[in-house]
Amino acid sequence: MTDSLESFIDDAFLKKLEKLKVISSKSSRSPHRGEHRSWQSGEGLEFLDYRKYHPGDDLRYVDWSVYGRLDKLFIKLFHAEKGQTAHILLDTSLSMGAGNPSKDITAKKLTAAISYICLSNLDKTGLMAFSDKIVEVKSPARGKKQFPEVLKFLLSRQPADQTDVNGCLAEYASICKNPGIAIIISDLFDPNGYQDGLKVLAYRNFDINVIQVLDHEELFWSQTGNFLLQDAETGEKKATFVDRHLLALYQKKIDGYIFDIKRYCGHYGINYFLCDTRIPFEELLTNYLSTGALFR
Amino acid sequence: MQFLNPGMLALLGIIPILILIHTLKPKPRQVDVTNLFLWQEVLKERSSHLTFERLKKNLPLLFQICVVILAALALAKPTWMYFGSQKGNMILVIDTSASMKTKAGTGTRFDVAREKAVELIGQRDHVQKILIVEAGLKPVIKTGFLDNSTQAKSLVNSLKPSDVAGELEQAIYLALSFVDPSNNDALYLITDGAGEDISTLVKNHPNIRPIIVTGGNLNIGITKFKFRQEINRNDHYEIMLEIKNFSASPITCPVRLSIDNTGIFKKSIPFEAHEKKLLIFPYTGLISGIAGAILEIDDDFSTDNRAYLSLNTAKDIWVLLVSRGNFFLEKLLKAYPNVKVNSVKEIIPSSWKDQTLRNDIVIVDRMDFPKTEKGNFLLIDAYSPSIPIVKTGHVRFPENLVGDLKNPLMANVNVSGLIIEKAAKLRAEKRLQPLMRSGQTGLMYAYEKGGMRAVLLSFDPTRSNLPLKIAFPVMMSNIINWLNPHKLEFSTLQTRAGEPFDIYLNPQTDIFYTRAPGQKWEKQQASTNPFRYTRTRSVGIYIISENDKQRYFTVNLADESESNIASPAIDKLSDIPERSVASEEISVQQPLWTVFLLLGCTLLMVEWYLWLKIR
Repeated sequence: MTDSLESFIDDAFLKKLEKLKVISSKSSRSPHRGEHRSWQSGEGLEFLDYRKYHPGDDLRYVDWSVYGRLDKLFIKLFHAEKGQTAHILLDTSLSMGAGNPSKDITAKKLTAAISYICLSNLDKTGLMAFSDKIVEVKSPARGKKQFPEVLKFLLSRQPADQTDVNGCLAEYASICKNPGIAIIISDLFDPNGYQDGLKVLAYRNFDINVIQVLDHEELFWSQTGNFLLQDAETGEKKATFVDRHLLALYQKKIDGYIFDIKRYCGHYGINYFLCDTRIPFEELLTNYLSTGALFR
Repeated sequence: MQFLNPGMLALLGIIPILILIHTLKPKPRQVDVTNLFLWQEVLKERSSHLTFERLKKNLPLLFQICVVILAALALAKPTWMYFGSQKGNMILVIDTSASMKTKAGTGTRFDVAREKAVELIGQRDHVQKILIVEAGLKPVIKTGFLDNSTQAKSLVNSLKPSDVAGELEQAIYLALSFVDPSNNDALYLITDGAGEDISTLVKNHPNIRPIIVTGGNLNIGITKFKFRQEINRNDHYEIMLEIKNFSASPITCPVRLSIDNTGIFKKSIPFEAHEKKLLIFPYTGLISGIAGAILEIDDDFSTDNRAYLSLNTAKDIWVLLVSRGNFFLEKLLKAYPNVKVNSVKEIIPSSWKDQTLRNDIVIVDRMDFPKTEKGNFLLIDAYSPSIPIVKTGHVRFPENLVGDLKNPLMANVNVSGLIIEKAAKLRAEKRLQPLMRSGQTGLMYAYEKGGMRAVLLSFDPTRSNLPLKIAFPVMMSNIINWLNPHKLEFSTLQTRAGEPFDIYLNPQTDIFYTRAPGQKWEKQQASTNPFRYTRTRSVGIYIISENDKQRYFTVNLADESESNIASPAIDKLSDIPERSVASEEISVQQPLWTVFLLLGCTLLMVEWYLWLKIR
């Protein structure tokens, strides 16, 4: 895994990443200054509105040309430029260890790349690894110098335990002091669902992006025969004979499952991305996610 | 439905074994999945139409059970019994023997037979098929089962009666082999009933429906015509003529006898009803040519009113003796009255071929000779590359001499007491069996291939006591007779209509011509000697043209039963009550095993197709 992570972090690729910027559909409410336009008025360059002068206002912002015509004092308002906080929530449950290449590797690559993009744009970037509970949290921090810390965080995590998406997302929503962009990277294979967790994040006003990482075989099961299916997380077993008919039923089921996620995300204004582990990583990052408006 | 072989139903015992095999499942392969909860939902959904799925899953087993059931049923020979009025196939046996040439009304009996056959074909049902068998000398199946009336009629119209005596019984047995009694097939026998008595055969087979054609009952015919030489009187002969009146009334018949158109007897002879007379005529003088006996009467059956003989006096046999001296042999050859000997002491290769072809028999005495393709040879300790017998050594005083007395070459040759001082040890091909052998080697072989005939003696008779024994002239006579049989004696070259005639040819002849009465010349390849000529369907004089020389042989009917056109057998056949046409209600056994077999095969194909599709 280490090799895999390090192999993609070369200077040329990082240069490409620096050109990208994580965008948010919501204006930033961060108290810190940054590079993202805010609907709050403040010290920015982009004109926002006029308002009447009140005593104590900085006379530097009076529009004297308006005063010349109307003989009234008006203050020019500008968009405040705020910094934003990105929260990358990474699923590290046992189910993420499955696949070829494993979903865990793809998810960590994505996390590293998105972190680098955010850090290079002076966004505060925080990481949270979860399985059936929040395993570890890296508090949001700014600056590219944080990137080695990010890598260290990712390398220290191995797939383990079952998944509790709802519980972990709800808990993170409650402990997070400064909501911003939430990027959830998971396979979302949780028998208890994912909806409540996403809903709680949405209520906390997170700009949510869901990247569902799935192995190609999970998306398009191709094997037939007599199988003993064992759940990667619970160890539960189920013997069955997979024939063409059952394959079709499975395909219908997985398509339906993904469709439900998409519909739910659409309902709550959540960006949804489906990531097949067989899609080349660079293509996934620069084309697929950009087209889907996670990056610009 | 009945089972003719119900024991085979025991095969159904395979079904439990099949079920047992199908209950054995392979060990499932363990696969880790991350979304078992989705799989469980899928399996739940599938269980909603599990009945159909189970059926689909067990389809191969169901097919296999069905196949076993069908195979067991097929092997148990099921038959379906029903009563039906189905018409069976028609098998027409049409007599084309000589008696069918008898006058009947304005035509012949065969014309009437042909009309009846055409009428029968016209009455056939569309499901009936027709098989036509021509009953001549040998039964001939003219075609397979036809369902085309026009074609069948055309075939019947193409049939012609010949001059041969028919083998009607053989034809009936052949036709009966095509009759399927379960199919209600009918054999229609259209004949005049002349010849052998077949009434018993017809009575014993209810499928035979005889249709007797009648007409014409006045016949007087020659039943025998022979020439013979009187014993010890070379130029004295006797001509035998047997004539029979087959009619029920007395007839006076003018009889004329001639040799090469020179009349030697002519007289009207009275015959009582059914009277047979044997006439012997003495004849003195040279005979050569065609002898003819003619009954100058216009009766209803003219084929037996004439008979011919081709007369041949014994001819000289030219023998080339290649020997440095063989006293006993030379003396013996001189003793034969019609054997002319040319003697040479050495073989001259340049003229050897001409010499062998100019002589009827070549005797080579104790010297090897070059490769020769044709000719008649007596080889005394002489060898050639043409004959696959090789000398490998010598045997002194060979013992336990045995002769194959069944062979015509050894007929009446007594080898007991024969002492041979020295004989060659021979190695021959396995197919060549010695006619005389000792415990150590074969002593005498006969060889025949293409235009070559040879007899090989492995010992010099002068160095044995053979010339002093009776066996010597007898053996030599046998050998000369076998090498050149047709020249030895006075002969009357004749045969009965339909029987083959052996034509003896000169060794050098490759191609010769024959001409049947009223026919064109036919080119013949001399593939064997004698050449077996089989197309003797017409009575009369046949001409053979060999090397621009013509000779003759004759073909006569000479069959009393065939000439008996009003035979009592005809009345017996006519007495058989008329059998109804094949449309009565009969119980029919329809075998069903093919149906079950086909169904089984179809199921197997379906299973194979589904396996290809599902796998």
